[in-house]
Amino acid sequence: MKFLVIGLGSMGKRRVRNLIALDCDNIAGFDIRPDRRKYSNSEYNIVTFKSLESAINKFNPDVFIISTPPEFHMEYANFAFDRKIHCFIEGSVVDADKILELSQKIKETDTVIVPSCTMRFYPGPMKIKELVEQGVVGKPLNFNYQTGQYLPDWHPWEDIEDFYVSNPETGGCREIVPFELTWLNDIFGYPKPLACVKRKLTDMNADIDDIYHCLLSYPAGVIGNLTVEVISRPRTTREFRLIGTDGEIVFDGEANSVKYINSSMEEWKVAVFNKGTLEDQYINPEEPYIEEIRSFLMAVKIKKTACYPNSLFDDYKVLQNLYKLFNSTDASLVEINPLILTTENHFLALDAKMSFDDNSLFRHSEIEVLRDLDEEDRLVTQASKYDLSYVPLDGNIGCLVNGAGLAMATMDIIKLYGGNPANFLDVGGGATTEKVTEAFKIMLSNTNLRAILVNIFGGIMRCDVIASGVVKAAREVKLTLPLVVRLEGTNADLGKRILTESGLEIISASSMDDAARNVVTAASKGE
Amino acid sequence: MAILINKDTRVMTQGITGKTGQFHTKSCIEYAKGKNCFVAGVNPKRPGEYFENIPIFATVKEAKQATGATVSVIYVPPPFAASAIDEAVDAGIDLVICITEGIPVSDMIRTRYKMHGHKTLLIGPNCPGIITPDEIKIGIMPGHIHKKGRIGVVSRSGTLTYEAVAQLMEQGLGQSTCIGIGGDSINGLKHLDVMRMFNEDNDTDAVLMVGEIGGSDEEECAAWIKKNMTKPVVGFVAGVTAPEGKRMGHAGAIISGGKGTAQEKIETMEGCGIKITRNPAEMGKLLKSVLR
Repeated sequence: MKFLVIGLGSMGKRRVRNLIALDCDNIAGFDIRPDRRKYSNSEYNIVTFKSLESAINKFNPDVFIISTPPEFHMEYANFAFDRKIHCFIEGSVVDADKILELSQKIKETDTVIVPSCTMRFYPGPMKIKELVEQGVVGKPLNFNYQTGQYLPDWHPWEDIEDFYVSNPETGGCREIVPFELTWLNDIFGYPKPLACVKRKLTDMNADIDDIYHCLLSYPAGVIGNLTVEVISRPRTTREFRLIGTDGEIVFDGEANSVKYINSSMEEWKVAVFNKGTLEDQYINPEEPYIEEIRSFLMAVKIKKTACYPNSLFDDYKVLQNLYKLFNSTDASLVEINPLILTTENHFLALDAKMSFDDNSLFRHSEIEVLRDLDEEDRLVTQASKYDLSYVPLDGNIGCLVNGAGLAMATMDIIKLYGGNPANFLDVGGGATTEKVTEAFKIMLSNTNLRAILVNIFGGIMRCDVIASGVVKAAREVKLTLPLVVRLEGTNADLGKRILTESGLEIISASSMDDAARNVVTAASKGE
Repeated sequence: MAILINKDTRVMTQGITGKTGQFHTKSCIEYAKGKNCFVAGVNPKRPGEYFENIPIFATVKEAKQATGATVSVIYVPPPFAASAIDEAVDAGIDLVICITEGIPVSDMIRTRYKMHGHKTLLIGPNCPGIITPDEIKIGIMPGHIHKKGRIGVVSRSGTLTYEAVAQLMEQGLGQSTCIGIGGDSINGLKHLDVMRMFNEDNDTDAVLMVGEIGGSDEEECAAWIKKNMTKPVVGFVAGVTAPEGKRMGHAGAIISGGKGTAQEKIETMEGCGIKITRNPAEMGKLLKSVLR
């Protein structure tokens, strides 16, 4: 079999080494950069090409290993598919739609095209999967996982602006989030992203978010927090903790160990994975990469994509997660404050605040359920039930107005005449008698009230409806406070008549100005 | 002439069969020359039917082709309203007026983005609409409080605009066109866009501009007025008593991080030579006082 490694950067070179380690001897490389071609040529003794065309014509490969930056993956993969060339592709970050398309095209063909999933070949994640599957810690409930490495340390030999990781579409955390999800999702299933906070915390020279906090809800009820960052230095951070109904699993990247405990165990049990060296001929840092290529070669040998543990469709689903996290949850505010840097060089969010677009809650039942009515002002909650907009203030003049602008203006004019509004209350455009009655009751629950102003400009809203509501509410609560009512617009006369005939003590105002003066005077008398 | 719409404008209603769409289409037909102006309705599920003698089409494109309507008014419910705007934009409608309140912000961001490079103008969403008195009204404002005249009115609010109109009427001042640009944070025409049109309109002598807390529309308009406006402009800004961080009814009416206060807007506008009243009951009087 003849292998063409496309892209001879750090990953491409690693793949050449992997292939050599697996005794593949017919390897060629293609890169547009002469320095890279020269290096691979002399270091690994492989043929290199400066164009894909010449590589195809002169070398005629059976297999592509696509190790280019992510935005070129699909171009080469489709090129390969058209020529029935098998493909191994590095991790996906972009082009979900093209990935989905190709994943459908390769069905029922003999061409094997699979994306990388190196993390699933790491001893740590493999051990975690094994323990979870054996039910060692009961049913998984929650995990917290942080991983990261300072971005400039990825390629210490070049500036980050010179290589793909500084590309906001593909670089930094955006590349790592799907990379990590491929193994997390393998264990826990495909999650529903609940929220993602992404930020640039450092002043590194790249237009990227250097941290992603992803909150994930997994099918079996597991809540996961995945933190991917590119700020950890001087070393890589990889820390995972899973809490189950009967114990815990902890993966410590620094110690290269997985430990676990459950209720039947006295002490933690530790599995250490030796960071072996080449001399040990045991696990070396390249091992997971080699294992993954070995698995790919098996699949190619029997021409079965399904024999490899990851698929393009899986990657498509992971990317859907990434996009959802990126576009988040219709949040209108995400704030972490304070965020501290611990002496162990970890960022810790001590407090955070998120607010969501009310208008989009209809499509976020998962956020709606987080609403804690006990934490809300009882009256505001009551108001929102009736679609009323209510904001309590600290004055003593209650205002009931239709329309947000007029409601604000009514508060303003009360203040202008020396009074103090007790609330903002907009009954909206299409109020019914019931709604007005409820609005009245909500406003009246405020014991600071000394007087009330109802200011209505009837457009859609008919003044007679408002008047009936006011009369009904005033009777129900046995209103004793001075009540000033100004009705203007549609059916104003009819409304005024309803008020007069009610026999209630109502101060009828002829204009907004008149109404404001009257209510301020009434309130000051009541003090 | 007035701005944007007149008696010769031909309008379709998207969401004509809903309760709100029916109610307001009926009242628009009954207003002034409305019977001639409202020529089509759109509902993908009910093409071929009629509402008040207005034919219903499945798509905006078909309605436009069949009737020559160049303006669309939208009463579609919030989850679908942004796509309704998209459809009108794609069909090459000149002016879209979106009355719907409660459209998700992210939907509107997407829609505004898609509108780049298209000729369509958008009024709203979450707005009362637009009226050229005694000719045509498109929206939910009470027609009868208006009268033809030479004052332009632009506002982010509904009822406060009616209040302003009523005060103008008390002063014996009719209106050329009144536009409610809407209370959402992501919307179509801004104060500035409308002001520019009023400045060029031969039928408008002066403009009453009603602002409110949130955003920076009023400030941007004020800076433009200072440089370019040849007609008198007076204003009012609602919300000097509004507390920070609370949404005051309108999605866009919120002071956040100390930005968008009424005080700040008033100061900027006054700094640009616009006469502002602190008293919302004196908008009409103030406008009368600046007429030459």
